[in-house]
Amino acid sequence: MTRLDSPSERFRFDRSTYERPNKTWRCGRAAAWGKPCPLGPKGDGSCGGTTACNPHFDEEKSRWECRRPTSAGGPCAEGPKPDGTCAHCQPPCVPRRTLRSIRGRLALLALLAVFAAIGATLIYGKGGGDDLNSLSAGPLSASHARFVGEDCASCHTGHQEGLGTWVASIFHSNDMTDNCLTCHAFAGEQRTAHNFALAALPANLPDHLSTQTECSSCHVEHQGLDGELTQLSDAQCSTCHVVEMENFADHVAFDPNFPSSRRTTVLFDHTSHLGKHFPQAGAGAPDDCLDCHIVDRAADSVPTRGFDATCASCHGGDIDDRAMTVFSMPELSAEQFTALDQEYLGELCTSRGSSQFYQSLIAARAAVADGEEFGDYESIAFGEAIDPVTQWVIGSDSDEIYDLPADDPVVDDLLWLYLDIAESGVAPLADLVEERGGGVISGSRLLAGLSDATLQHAVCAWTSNVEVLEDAPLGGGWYIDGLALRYLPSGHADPVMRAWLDLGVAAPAVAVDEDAGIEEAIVMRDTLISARQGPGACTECHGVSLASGMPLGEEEEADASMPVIVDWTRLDQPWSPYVSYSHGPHISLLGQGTACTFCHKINEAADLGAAFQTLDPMHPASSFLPIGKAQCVECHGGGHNDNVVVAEDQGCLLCHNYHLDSAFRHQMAEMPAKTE
Amino acid sequence: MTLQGSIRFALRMALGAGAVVIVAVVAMVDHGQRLELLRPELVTGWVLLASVVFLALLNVRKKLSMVPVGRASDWVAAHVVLGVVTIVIYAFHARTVWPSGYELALALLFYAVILSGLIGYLLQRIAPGSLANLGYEVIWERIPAELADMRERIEVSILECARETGSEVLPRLYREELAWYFRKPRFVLASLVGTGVASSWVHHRLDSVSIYLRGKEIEHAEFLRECARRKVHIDRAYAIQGLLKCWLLVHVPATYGFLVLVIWHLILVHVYLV
Repeated sequence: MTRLDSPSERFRFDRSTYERPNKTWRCGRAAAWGKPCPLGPKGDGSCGGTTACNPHFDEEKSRWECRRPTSAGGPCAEGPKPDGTCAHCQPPCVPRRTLRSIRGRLALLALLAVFAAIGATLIYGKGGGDDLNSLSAGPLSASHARFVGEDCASCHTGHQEGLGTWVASIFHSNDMTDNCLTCHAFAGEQRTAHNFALAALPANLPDHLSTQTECSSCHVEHQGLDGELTQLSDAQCSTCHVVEMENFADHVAFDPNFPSSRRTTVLFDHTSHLGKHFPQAGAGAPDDCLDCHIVDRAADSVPTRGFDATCASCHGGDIDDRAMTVFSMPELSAEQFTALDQEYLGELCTSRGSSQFYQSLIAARAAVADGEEFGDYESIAFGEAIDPVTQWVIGSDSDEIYDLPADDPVVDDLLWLYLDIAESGVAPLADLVEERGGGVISGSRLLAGLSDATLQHAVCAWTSNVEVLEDAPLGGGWYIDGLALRYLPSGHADPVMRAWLDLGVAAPAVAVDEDAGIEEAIVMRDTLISARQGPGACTECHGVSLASGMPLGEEEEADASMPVIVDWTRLDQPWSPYVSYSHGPHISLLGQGTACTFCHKINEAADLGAAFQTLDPMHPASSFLPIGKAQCVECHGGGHNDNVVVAEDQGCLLCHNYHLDSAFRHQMAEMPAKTE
Repeated sequence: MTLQGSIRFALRMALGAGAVVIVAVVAMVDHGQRLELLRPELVTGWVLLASVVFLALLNVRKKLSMVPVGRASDWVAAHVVLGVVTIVIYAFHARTVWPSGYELALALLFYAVILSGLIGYLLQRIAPGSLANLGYEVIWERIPAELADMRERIEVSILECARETGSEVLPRLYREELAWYFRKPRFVLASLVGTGVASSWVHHRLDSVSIYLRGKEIEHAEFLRECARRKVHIDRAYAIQGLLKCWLLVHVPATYGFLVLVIWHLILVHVYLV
């Protein structure tokens, strides 16, 4: 009766073969689920089992012996044939690869496939574009593709410069940010965080953030034509700014002065105007914000309609009342008067024949002849002090020159100036004023509109000891008022008046540079920019600020000669260069006019005028109450308010900028259209 | 626990602790560099490359079994632990599941390596127990010979039965139905799952003729039943051991492809990015 082997029998040394799974080939019969031959395949993959054994020739016995293994039944009864071949022949099989060998083949196939793909990339892939091209990181954004096209080497210097360069570039760093900065430029430092000035960087900032920020840290290229390089996520901001927010309600509290980072350049007190002046003015006064502000052009700020359309109806007359004295005739002593070259003046001036002139000249000469240099010749300027502007113009350190000898340089220059004016008209005075002002403002601007005849007429009269009386011209302009050359502004933003105030604020700094006439320059400046008595009443509204624009330090308060400027233009300075706010969409959403008060609430206790008593422009002052975060959260709070339209957009970039003003270094030209 | 067992346990614990330390350090460096707007991808990339190279060294260790560089089981344990660490480092490095361009191919190869590795690890944890529970040992490469031997004995038994009884019931049953079953491993999937489909199939056919069997025929039929029982074990061993070998057909080739593509990736990064 047939039976199966027990486990111990199956693994007996003479019943089982030794398996070698690491061999490359296995018997084809076994692969077909047949009984494998004992000899198995050869190393080259051919069948090694066409016979049951390989007979061995025994030298001693001088005969062939069967070598069939015991596991296959041991030596056969027939034994080898006389020629030494096995008597048990069978047809050959087709050996198959072992599993291990197949695995090796698959691994080789995988290697070849990857190498082939890389090779194809190298041969065909340098053009870029294809998603499967490993040399292409993906299509560029539309903004870059328009200029760069498919020229990878524009940014990646190792590309398309030969295999040698390509390989060498593995070992050389490729500063992509430098490549970006070839075209892009920013205000401030180029490679500091937020383009901060190096001095303004926080001390604890890592070195590479001080000078080596990378564009690619935030701007990820190769996202396709629709890729928005400037659309960054809040998470990117949170990389450094660790205050993470789920919505705007979590934003840090606003500065208590927001949005007033400084005083305005023009003093307009909304509190007093809306609360007192407009109600008193009655029908002509503005009804609401729209009467003064142009909401249609609202952007970061809402522009105003200007002085003529808004302020002039009440304040236009204030300007016309304030004439400016530019030059006045000082009192001359008898000696000084006689020192004038009257003969020459007589030739230049056509109207010197008055009896008053001859009486004065005779009296003055007589006094000088008697040794009385200060004798009375009935001077027209008797007892008159020189005005501060004239004092500065002629370079006198006193408000009178009466007591100076005739050969004193100040007197001598003045007498020559008279002669020059009489001879040439306005030009000598314009040159003198321009020179005294250090060339900051041209003489032609300062004396624009002044005719030679007017000035010559005045000088000829004054040097004849005769006053000139003219009426101030209607609509403003130059005129002679007794002993003074005066200018009446034609209205708001009068260019001559503005030029003189600019000269006035610049004069002390010029005097400091020249180390002469500092005090006179300061007195002149203060006269011109005086809000109470200054000509044109300009500084009643326009602020006077430190030219540096920086806050005024305590030690600077005492230095009266420091450079200042008149704030002529309305300054729409944002809270910070990194904060932007657009009025336009807010006005559109909330409604024009009355909606302004939704955010801008009048501060009844505001004292805007106090902020203009100092030269420090950085003093926060406003007629309105500060705007707190809660005001914005009303709408941008992530669904907290059911009464208004809730703005979903609360991202950092809605209000914040990363860079200071960005620009291009070159004028860009688009790539020509690709032709097939 | 023996001293050797204690040492091995301590080694495994050290491996686990080392893995946690590596992941923690990589996470800290990654976070720190992101805060400083640096490129943590460079650091995590190099660490990833180092770990991948170490993982690949297992294959070298298997080939150089004569070199005393630690026990193979310790190498496998390190391979498994570092493999898990590599998944975490990859997550830090790639930061996306489906990258674009050629990196997608790189990612797919990585996933193939990792997935096949995880499957292989699970198989190596589960399969040996199942094989031990079979109660029958067989070498996978020797299964064809075992089946051939079994067939030979069955055919001898069937011929003997025909000669002794003159009945054609068993020979006919074997020729027409059971020979198919004993030809090669059958019901492989069912065997893998461990259902009794194969056993039922054979016994159902033997039961269907049992009423026609007499005397010696019954003894030969019992021999067939015994062979069928062993065949069920062999089929299950074939299925389980086959799985234990076949997962490497994916794991190893994918690893080779992955390594080459990793080197290419490294070159491209240094040519175009750094």
